[in-house]
Amino acid sequence: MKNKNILVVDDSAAVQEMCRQVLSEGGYNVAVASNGVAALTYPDLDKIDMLIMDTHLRDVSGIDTTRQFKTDGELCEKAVLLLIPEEKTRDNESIELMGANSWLAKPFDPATLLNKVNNILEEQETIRLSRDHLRRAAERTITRMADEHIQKAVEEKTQIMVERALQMVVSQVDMKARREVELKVSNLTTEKEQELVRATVQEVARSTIEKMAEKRVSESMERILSSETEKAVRRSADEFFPSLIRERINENIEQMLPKEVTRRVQKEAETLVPEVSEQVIKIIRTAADKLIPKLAREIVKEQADNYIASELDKQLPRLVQTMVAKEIEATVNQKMEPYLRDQATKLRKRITLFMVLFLLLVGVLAALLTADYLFGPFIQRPATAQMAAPPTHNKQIRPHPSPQLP
Amino acid sequence: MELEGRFTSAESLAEVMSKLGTGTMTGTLKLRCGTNSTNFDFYRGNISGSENPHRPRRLGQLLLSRNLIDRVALEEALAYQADFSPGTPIGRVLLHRKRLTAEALHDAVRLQLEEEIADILSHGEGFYQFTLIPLTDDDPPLVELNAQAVVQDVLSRRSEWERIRVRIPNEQAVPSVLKLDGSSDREALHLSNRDWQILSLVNGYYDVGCIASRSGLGRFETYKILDSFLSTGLIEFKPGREPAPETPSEEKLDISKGYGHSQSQKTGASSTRWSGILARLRDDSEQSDIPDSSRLQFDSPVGFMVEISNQITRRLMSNQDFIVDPSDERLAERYWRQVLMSHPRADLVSAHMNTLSSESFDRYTVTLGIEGVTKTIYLETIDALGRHLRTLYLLSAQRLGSKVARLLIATVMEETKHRSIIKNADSFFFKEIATKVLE
Repeated sequence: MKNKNILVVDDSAAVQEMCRQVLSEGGYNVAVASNGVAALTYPDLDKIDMLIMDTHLRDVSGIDTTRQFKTDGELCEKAVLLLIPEEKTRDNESIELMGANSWLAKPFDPATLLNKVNNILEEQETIRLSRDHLRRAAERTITRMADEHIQKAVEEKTQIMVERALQMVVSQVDMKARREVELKVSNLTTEKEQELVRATVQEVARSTIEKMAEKRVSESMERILSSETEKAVRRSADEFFPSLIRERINENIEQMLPKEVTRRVQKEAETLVPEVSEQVIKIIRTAADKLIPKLAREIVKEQADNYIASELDKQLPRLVQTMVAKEIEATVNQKMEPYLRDQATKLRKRITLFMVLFLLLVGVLAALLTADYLFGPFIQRPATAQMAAPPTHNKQIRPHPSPQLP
Repeated sequence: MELEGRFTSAESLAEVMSKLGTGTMTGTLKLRCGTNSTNFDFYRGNISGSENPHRPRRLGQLLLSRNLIDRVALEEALAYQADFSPGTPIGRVLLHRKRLTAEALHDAVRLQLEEEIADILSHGEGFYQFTLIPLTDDDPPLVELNAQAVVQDVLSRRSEWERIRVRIPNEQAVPSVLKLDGSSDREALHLSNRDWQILSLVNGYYDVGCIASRSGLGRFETYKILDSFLSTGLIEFKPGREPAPETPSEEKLDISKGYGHSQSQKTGASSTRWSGILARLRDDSEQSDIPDSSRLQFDSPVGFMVEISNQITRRLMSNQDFIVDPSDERLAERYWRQVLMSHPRADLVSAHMNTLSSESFDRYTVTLGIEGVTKTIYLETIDALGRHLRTLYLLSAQRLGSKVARLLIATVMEETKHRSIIKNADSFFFKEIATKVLE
């Protein structure tokens, strides 16, 4: 507690002198004043650590002065020890300290005065250290909280700025992309429109060609089969059957073959038509490639521009989706074509085989009928066999009456 | 050779001093204005010292007040002066013991001389007498001031002095502080160290003269600062305060020296009686025949001296020839107050009406004794009580005659001493005090 500064305020020069001597010997720096106003106006008051105040000063009491100290924001932390005349402490009444740290009765023992002063200053020092500690802790906490808030605010601000920047970038990219998309769409639209027209034309051409091919193939097949069958049957019949049988066979064939041939021709056509159609499409595409761009540019462009300009935002996704679907379909078709072709080849081979087998069967049947007709007496037909004969044969091929055996 | 005459104005006195300076005179200039007289020592035309029998200078107090020496140094010097060099000025002792520089001493003495000159010039007219003293081989004076320059300085302040005197009429005016309204008042006041030094001495009891003496700043500076306090409303002089009693003149009683300076005046039967009393007081071997249980018990010599003072006052007040004024019923109070102005640290002894009380002092004595921190206070209180007894003696001598007064006081001293038991009286030599009071 050395080098602490104490201001003694007492209107008695003797008490001032005693306090000065006691406290100086205790290692304190002592100043003395005879009134409270001097205490309040001491030039180095900020350096004073403690006041020793007589409560019963003549003009302005020590109690009033203490109150002024304790209600002044700058002075309220000064330690105050009140000196109270002994006769005032005998009443057992509560002593009004007015915020003073402690009190001491006059006359006082120098050792007691020194102990009181030491204790109060140590207490003040402890309080000061505690306050400093708390202040530092509070400052640290406040600094940390401020840093956190600042960090958070910066982050939020940064985020907002980033978001805004992103929005700006996105909007710019969006605009750019939109422009590019629009550009590409316009380009694509032209291409797709061309392709659409081309596909439409191809589709129409395909269906037309398919129908024409089917019709022609059907006619050709019918004609070929008819002529060939007729030729074969006629040749066979000329060779093996009599004219009556030939007539009957002819009748039966005329009734039975057209349906069967038509069915088979249709199957064949179904197999062959895609192939033929493909060839036709190629031809048409070649022609379309030459003709359609010009046509599309001249005819479709104007309509497409108007249409795209008005319906772009609404229709674009659907259009693109449709195009993509068609593109996919085309791709699938392109990839499925070899398989279909392979399958058609296989089917054609099978039809050819079947036709051969059928012709053989017909031949065998004709041979059997001929043999029956010719060698009937040698072959004993059971009744059941006659009964079990298919009704179609019975209906379509009316058997000749069995010759009676002699 | 002697030079004497009458001065009718401050300027004419300044002219006299200038002549002494021009003539490089060595001697003593005695100035008398009414009841006030001051002696100025001249050495080769310069002022080297002064002496006022009515207002003894206290160089030690002045040096302490100006923080030129500390209290320990002063007490050591006083002890050295008493033991080894009686009669040597305290300034020279301090200089010899290297506790004070010649410059600091020069400044302090100059201030005192200016105070004396200003005081004598304020009277305006009076008589002067210069006595030439031949030069000796003694040590030259420590301080030599150009008389003409000092007088010119004092004269230059006269207009300001006159303005201040209108508001602070005399040295007996007692200032009191006024309560500050709040922190705003406090913050508005920016006191210098000198201002605060004056303010810190205002306690509603000390008069302006006491404050000037204790401050060490001199009267002019003290008055000026107090005047500024009056202007700012920091202090006031309460009206109706009882004027200080006139100090009894020793010269009228044919006692040229004050308290502490003896001059034998032992003639006639009365003188023989009080001398006998003093002789008995000096006789330490004399034993009282009063049992201890009937004797007065005092915790310190202060209580004993207070009892003597009260007994004397009672005796005087019981004498109808003594009472000449209604204010005499507060005689002790008024004169003790006067004593306290020059002995402020004796204020643990209080006075009410015609009774002094040492209760406060005794309470400290019971706790602390009279050694250590209370010794200074004890010595000053004893000195103050001796002066008070001396004042009572002078007053009673004025009114009753010196022989009656001396006999009365000596008798009271003897009787009180005879029936008293005094504690803590190891360093108390009452007989010397009694001699100083009565001789």
